[in-house]
Amino acid sequence: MKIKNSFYHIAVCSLFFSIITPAQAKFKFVPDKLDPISVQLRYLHQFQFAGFYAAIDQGYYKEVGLDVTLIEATLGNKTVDEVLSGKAQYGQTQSDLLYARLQGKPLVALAPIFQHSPTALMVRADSNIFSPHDLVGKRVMLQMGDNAINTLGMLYHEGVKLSNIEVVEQSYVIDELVSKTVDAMGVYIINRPFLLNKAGIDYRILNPINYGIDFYGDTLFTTEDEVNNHPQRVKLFLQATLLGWKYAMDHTNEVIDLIINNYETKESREHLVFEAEVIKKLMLPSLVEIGHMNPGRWHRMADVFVKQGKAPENYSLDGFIYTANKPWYKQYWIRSFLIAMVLLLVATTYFLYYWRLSKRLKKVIFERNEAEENSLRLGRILEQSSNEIYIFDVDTLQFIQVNQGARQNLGYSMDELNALTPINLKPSISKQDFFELIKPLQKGEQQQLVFETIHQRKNGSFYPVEVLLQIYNTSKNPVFYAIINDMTDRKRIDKELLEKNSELEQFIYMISHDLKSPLVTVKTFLSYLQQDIAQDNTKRIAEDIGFMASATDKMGMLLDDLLEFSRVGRQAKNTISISFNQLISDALELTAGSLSEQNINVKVNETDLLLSGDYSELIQIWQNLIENAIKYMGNHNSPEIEIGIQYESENPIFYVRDNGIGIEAQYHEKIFEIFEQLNTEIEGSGLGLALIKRIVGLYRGTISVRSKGLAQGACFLFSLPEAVNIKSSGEI
Amino acid sequence: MKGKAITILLVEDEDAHAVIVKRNLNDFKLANKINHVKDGQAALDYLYQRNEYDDPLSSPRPELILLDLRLPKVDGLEVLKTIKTDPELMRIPVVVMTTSSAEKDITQAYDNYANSYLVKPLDLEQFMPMLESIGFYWLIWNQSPNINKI
Repeated sequence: MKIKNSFYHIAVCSLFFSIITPAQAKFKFVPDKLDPISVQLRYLHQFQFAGFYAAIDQGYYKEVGLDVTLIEATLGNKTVDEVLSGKAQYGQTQSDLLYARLQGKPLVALAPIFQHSPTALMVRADSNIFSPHDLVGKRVMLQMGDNAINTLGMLYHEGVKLSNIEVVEQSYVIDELVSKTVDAMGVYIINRPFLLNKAGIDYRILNPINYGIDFYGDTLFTTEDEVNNHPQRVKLFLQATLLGWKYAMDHTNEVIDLIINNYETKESREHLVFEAEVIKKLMLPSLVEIGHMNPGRWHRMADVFVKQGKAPENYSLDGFIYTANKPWYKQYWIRSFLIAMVLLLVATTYFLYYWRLSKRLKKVIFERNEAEENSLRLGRILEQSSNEIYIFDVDTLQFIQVNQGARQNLGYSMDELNALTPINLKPSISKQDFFELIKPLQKGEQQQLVFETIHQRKNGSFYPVEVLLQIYNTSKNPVFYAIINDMTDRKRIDKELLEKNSELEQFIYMISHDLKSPLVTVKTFLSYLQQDIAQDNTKRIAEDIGFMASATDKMGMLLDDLLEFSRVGRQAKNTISISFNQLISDALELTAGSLSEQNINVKVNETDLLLSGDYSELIQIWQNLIENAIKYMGNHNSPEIEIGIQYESENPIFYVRDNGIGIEAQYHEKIFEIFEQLNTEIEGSGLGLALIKRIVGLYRGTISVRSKGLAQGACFLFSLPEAVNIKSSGEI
Repeated sequence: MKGKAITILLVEDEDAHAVIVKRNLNDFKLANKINHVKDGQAALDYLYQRNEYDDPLSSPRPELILLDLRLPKVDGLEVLKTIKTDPELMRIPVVVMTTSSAEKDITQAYDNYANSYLVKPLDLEQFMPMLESIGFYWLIWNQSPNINKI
């Protein structure tokens, strides 16, 4: 990605610079024969022409085979005319160049030396002239010709009519402004202000640039003939001259010395320095390429001439702007267009590239963060899982990683496990059997293996396990991994479930018998009843009805007890605290009717033990036991029931004792089974004691009966550990 | 007819059911005596002539046992097992007559050599012919071994 990026850079930049870098030809040889040419200056030697001096002195012209002679201006001879007449091949002048061209003269602008015109109006600082409008009615010294056309353009542009101004012919004598003979004077700002400064007079400049008239200043030019006949010479002369100007701008003092020493200038060094400063401002060499030419500006300049009626509206500048020898890609508009396109391309490419890159990066970073987060979390979950997870080597079978759940259950540390293999943990599987077992996984015949076996802990104890074994072979080092469930709880639950299931089966079996039995009775005796009514057998009728009534009673009782039985342990518990005494007194109240009917004496050994549990469950235990005792009291002279608590190693054992018919030893366990009833003479469904056993079981207690045999009475003993967690009210 | 008194032992905890059996068998005059006991323990006591059943005259060895399965104290299956494993009693035909039609009960009964297994029908229309058939089949058509001689 990085390489690609920098490649982008280099490609784009090299394309860019190959277009905009000017071809600065270095001519290192000096031709044998020099080609003599002349350059017409539009004034006397001064810094205004510094480029020529530098080019001559640096040998730039000689290098391209040119012998250049500079011709100073003479009064009355116009620069353009001198060149047109062929006295000189090249010249440097101002807007009169364009004016002449617009008049149809075959002149060609090679390069503007000054990007802005140095021609402006100068007024004294103590005058009241601040803008072109203030010139109305004033004396203004102007060259009415083509040279001050930008100044006239400014006046025109600002709506100041020349008829409202007293125009005085240009004399170039600064004294006239000093002596206030004129109020304003057209000047060349390169040198005139210096003279006023020198005279100690402050001045103001009215510059056309500030009023929207921006003319090129001094421009290097030649004729169409020269361009057509000596294109190579034009090109070389132009290049050498511009190089000279570049040198002059970089070495102003050296060039000033040169002017003073070689060109008999009338100007002082001070003047030349001032001039150089102003020219630098007009050329802006550091901002604009020297000689840079914009066709649009020539057209705007021409428009100023047209507006003042100095040029036809349908003028043409074809051939005026020198382009002939520029390679196509250096031509102004093509170059601008290309640069713009290249910049646009570069910008767009960069934008798109970085935009996509950043988008992609963001996505990648987001995804990676998320993925890292997820895999870290998965790792932590697996480590802390209560499932046992083992990772071991495919070849040596030695454990590589064993999670916390497994280590805790086994009692081994990771270091200890690293020296072990799964075979060490599985006492019931031999090494040979284990290798046989994992073969299908190693061969890839099976994706996973599920089997049950036994694990041995470090302390020697065992626990049943279910193993899910898989192989992870997408990595460089394939491993086995086993996810193992400790089956202790499940085995226990399975066993409980089996017990419950058989209990349920028994229950259904009993119900089907015990409900069907009275039904057989009812239906059969109904038929008898019909016969007996028909035969008017009164004795049999009474017997039939008696059997039917007792069968339906039995059914009703059975259904009641069944509902009761199914409710035990299924209903939401409403746990309360109640004292033993209160519970017994409530139970006796519920059975008071039968007790007094049979004249039974009840003895309660009171104690303040506090019981906690569901009230209806607890009360049912004693109520049923008391009712049971009443039922099986038999014909006793002094029937008695005793209720109380005895302690066996501090655990309370509750008892309900009676002196009734008693139970033979062989039935002591059977009586607690569902639907067991020893004595068919006594009403009951056979569910009463089963129900009590069930409730006692809910409180993790047990129940048993003691009886020495028939007519020896019975004593029911039971514990309720979960109901007596709170010892007694006194100890709380 | 063998010209001797025929005794049936009816082991039935439900009085009403016992009455049904008695009424029908008496109607057909198929038995001289139907002795009714109400639980498994009493049945065994009767067969071994223990306690209240020690008089061979009032409690003779039965020619046929009608045995219910759901019985108090000692259940019917236990009684059946005892009878069929005792060489003295094993020849006595035992007809299991119960309300249960559970596969388990039927299998267990035959596994313990029950001679027949009948489910009590829900109404008299069926109960009557069934009891009549039992009487005729077991007491008349069926040739029983001598139960008193080994």
